[in-house]
Amino acid sequence: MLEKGRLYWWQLQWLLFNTVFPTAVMFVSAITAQVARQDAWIAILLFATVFGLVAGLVCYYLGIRFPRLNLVQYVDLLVGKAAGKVISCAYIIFFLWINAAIIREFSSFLATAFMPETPELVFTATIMLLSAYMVRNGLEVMASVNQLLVSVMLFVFASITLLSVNDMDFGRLLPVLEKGWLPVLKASLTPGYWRTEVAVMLMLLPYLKEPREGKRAVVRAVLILGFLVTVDVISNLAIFGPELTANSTFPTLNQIRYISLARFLDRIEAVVMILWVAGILIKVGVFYYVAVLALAQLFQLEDYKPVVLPVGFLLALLSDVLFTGSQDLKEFIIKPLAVMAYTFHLAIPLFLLLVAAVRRVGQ
Amino acid sequence: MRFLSRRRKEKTAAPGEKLSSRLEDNLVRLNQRLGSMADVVQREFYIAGDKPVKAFLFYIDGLVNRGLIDEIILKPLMEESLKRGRQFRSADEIYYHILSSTDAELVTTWAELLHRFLSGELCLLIDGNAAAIVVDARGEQVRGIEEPPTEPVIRGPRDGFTENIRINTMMIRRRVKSEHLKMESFILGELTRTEVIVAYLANVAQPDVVAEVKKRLQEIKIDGVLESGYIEEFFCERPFCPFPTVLSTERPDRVAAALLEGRVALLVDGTPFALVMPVTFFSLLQASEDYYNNACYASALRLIRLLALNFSILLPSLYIAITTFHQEMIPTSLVVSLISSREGVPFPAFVEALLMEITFEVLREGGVRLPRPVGHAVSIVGALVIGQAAVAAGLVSTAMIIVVALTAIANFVIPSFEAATVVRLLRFPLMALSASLGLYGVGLGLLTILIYAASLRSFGVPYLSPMAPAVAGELSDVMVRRPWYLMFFRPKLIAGKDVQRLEKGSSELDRG
Amino acid sequence: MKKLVLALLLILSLLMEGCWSRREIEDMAMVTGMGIDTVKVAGKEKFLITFQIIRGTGGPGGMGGGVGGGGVGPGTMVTQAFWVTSSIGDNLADAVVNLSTRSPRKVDLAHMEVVVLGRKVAEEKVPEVVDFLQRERTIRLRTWVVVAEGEARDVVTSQPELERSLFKGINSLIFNRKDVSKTEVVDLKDFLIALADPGREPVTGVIRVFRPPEIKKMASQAATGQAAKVVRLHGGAVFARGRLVDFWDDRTTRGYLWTQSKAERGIITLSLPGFSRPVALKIRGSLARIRPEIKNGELKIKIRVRVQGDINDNQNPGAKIADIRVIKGLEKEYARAVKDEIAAALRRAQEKKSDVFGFGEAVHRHLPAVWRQVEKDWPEVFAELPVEIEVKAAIKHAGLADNTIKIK
Repeated sequence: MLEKGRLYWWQLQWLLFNTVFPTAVMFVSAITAQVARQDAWIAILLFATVFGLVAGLVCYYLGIRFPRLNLVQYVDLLVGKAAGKVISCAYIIFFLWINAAIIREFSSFLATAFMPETPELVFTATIMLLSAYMVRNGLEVMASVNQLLVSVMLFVFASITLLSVNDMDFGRLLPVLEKGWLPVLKASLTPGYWRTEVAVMLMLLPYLKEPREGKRAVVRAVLILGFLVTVDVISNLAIFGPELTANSTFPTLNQIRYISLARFLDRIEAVVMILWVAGILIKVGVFYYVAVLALAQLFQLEDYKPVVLPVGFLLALLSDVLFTGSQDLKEFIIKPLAVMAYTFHLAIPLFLLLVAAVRRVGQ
Repeated sequence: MRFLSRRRKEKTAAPGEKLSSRLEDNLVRLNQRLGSMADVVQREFYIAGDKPVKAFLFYIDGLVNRGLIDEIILKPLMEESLKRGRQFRSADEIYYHILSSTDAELVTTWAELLHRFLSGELCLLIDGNAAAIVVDARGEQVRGIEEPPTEPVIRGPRDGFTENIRINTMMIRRRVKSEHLKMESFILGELTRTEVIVAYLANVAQPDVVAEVKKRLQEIKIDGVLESGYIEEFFCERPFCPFPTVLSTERPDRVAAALLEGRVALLVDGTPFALVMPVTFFSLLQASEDYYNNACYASALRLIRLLALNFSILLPSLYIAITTFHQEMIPTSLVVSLISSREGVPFPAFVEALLMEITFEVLREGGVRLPRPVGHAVSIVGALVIGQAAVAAGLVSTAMIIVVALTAIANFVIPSFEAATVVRLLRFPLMALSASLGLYGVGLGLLTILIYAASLRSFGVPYLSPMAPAVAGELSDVMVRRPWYLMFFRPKLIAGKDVQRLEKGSSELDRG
Repeated sequence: MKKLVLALLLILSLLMEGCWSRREIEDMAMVTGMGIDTVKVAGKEKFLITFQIIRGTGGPGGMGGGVGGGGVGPGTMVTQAFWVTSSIGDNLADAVVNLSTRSPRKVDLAHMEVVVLGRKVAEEKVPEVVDFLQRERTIRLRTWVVVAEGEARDVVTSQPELERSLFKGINSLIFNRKDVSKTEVVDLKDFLIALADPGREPVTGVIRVFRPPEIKKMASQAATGQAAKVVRLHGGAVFARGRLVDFWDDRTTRGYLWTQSKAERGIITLSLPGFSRPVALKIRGSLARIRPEIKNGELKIKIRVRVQGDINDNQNPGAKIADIRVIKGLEKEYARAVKDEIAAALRRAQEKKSDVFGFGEAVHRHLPAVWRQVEKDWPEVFAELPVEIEVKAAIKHAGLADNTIKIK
């Protein structure tokens, strides 16, 4: 087996959490509020959670049929060798593609909001080097690092929310369901696919100490995400109103920028940015890791370490080449990536699960 | 030649050349081996009796208690036979009937004899016997037990280890009077033949860790071990690892506490520094005093130490990052004074910080090396010349001086000297990163350190535990020192078998 | 080892090439506040921005005495801690960048506490101003937006009193507004929200420049015969559909504050029934509720305000002011005065069709179906909107005196 590390279920839970959270908290509320206005939080609280839960559970029930095997290993058993290889390849390409988008989101965020004079490539290169280093150290180290970071992130998230409570006017969330459920449902497609990213569990489930606990991990991860992202959206809406929330590039960043500690310490966003970078590191690391692992397993390598650096180089390249700028990236995130995500996070696992059930493969 | 690592009290003769039964032969051999050793005392005498037997006594001067020799060896040997009216001539007889010393043995090989002789025991060859008697009458001059200068406490025992391993083992044994406290001896160093003792509580320590320590000890083949630092580096998990994965301490109470938690201690002869393993990073931030002081106070101290750790690693780089990249974070009124104080300074903030930090490190090193009376001069030069004059000359800004001073003082708060050293070192790359990429650079640096530390293990225990991976019920231990009446368990990742340390119901206070 | 060398090389190369965004703090021109005006340059309308920039006090030891002291060196140069300068550009972004043709230090807007809009800019150019303010990452969302009664540059060039920095002073004046309750100032975020929200219009403070009479008499000013300009902050600047439409006096502005629960402290002067001289009350806060309702098919707004106050100054000697009946009468008087003020503000707002009270917002939140019908021509609807004002007043304390002393 390529990965010898074993995770506790709570480590997986927080890993899945950070697979979704960092970008969700920065980008989702604006995109959702553009469609659902002040009802964006309903879209995120209800529908997106449902999408997430469905995707997570499908992946869990698929994975649990093949104990100690991950997607790339059992897909051959399900649909035959040739088709299996095709699906594996497709997944690897998808993981790389989505990761390229994440990396670009990251570097364009830093370049827009913090250091406009610095070339984006610097951010891409540094985060890739760092995540390559982390991926080489294996899953257990990634989970450990993540755990430390999560505790700090949650603390800071709570502080940010508390510090801005004074500026919130919950009247801005009214009227509820002004235009009915339809726009809310429509708006939930983006946060919904964000939540389905917990499907990376397809590759991680066999590395749990007790794979059956994966269910608990994924369900709790989705619910915690639902809660925290909703808190985030509600605070954005309550501070800025639907108009300004939809109109900002990064509403949460604005929320942090707006915090003022006793008229003395303003503009703490740069400090929070460090934590956000840490979260992104985990997010990039997880997608990076599953891609590398899948690649190594597809070509039946002894060790995944030799592919780490080449894949990292490829990712940096892709993230630079695939998108021209922030707006182009946003376009990609809203439409094509959504289609891809629903396909790979939901449709294909569901299909595989059906095949497994019909053909009675696995346990 | 194969390195010999043998138990000291081994009775079976090691393979090697045997002693001859003729004293003359033995003396010839001895002269060959021990020529040009000015510090050897040799004494020929006869064991009294009707037919006096020739005997030869030799030992290293200064290591042996002379009065004791006269009392327990020469006097009985030269008089006892007369009193009893019986001739003693065999080594066995002398060993069993005459020698009034508890620590004596019969040795039959040259190798063993020489080893005993060199480690300061007294050797007695008797004509007609193919065995020598060695007597442990060591009486070397030792430093008295003093308060450890590197780990002073306000509350707690004042004794510290000395250079003598016997005294050190005594100090541990006196604290832990249990038959489970095992002390296994190893001889390390081909030339120095230093005694190393592995101590652990057999019913608590993880057997794998004990075995691993012994294995790693036996693998070390080196010419000499002069300090426990030699061994410490062999215990590193990674090449060039800056983090200490074993703890070194001068305090016997600290070693005893570690033993009780299930850790393994290593004492090395010739140094007051004992090693304790496995350790985690957060345990390096705890002082032995934490466990003697009031729990609330100790918990507050732990928080302050965490803060100081962050200060000491981050302050200069944060200063650089904030003043050169993220000026929006500085309160406006402070900006006015910062601009004013920086205006005449010719260097960029990074160079300024680097200069001052290096200056401080130089001063600090100078302070350690200089003879004590001159030390004050250094602090005056440091404080006045470098601090005040540099500011007055407009070379550095006052803000920078404050940052450097705070960093330096925060560094002293970290109880473990080794951990403090790492922090001092890591400050510099972080400063470079912050000068090139601002807070983002600092973040990158911190994350790199974090990943590296998370991948470390100390004898199988993850270095960042109990934070990462989190160990249920011990997370709080990083920041809070639980009161003793609630300290039910030993650290779970460290203690192997017997995790319970306090019985439920030992106090009224734990029910509620 | 290889990795270590690699990492070191990386760091070094970053250091060599890096520093893209790096700027030493003494090389920054920190703007503490700016005033925006328009000027005609060669027949074309351009923006003129006047800045106040932190200069520092020059050299080491300049601040607070420092060390060394004495002697003539670079440190003893006496300079003004702030620099007032200006630049012209086609738009705000251009004008800010153009400052760099004059400022040797890099212009940074991160410490800007106040933006002063000149009257003409507020009347005509708000849409051209706000986008830059929102988009530029360095500008704080907490930056206060105020309107100058005349030109903004007059404000920026006026003399700071008591504080060293004019804008630190203005910033504190803005925080003082709650003690006075005669003006309301919004920050950039609230300004933007009110501009964008179809059911609300922004009101912000007015800065007036004047030459104080008392300073004229002082020796140093006597020579020039003219006092330096100084500023005051009071009254309200009312916007409608992105234009400044009205300047309110203090009383009207307070009428508005009552409806927003923002009259927190300050003094209101009432006539005491049965006495000739007035009584001053200390305002102890207000709590307002705006509810829309449909009565007989007609949209109507109900404002309910509860106010509290303490007796602070009674000018009628011998009046039994602490008597409960007198207090009851005073409470009624208080309620009536508040109601009058609100009505005055309402009248002025309806005149200018500016829904500063957020009636539209209330309709939107509580009667979304109605809002859909009226949203399109809300200003017209607002101008004709029937409003019912109900005020309940309570007097809580009477200070350290009971009845006012009798003067023989």
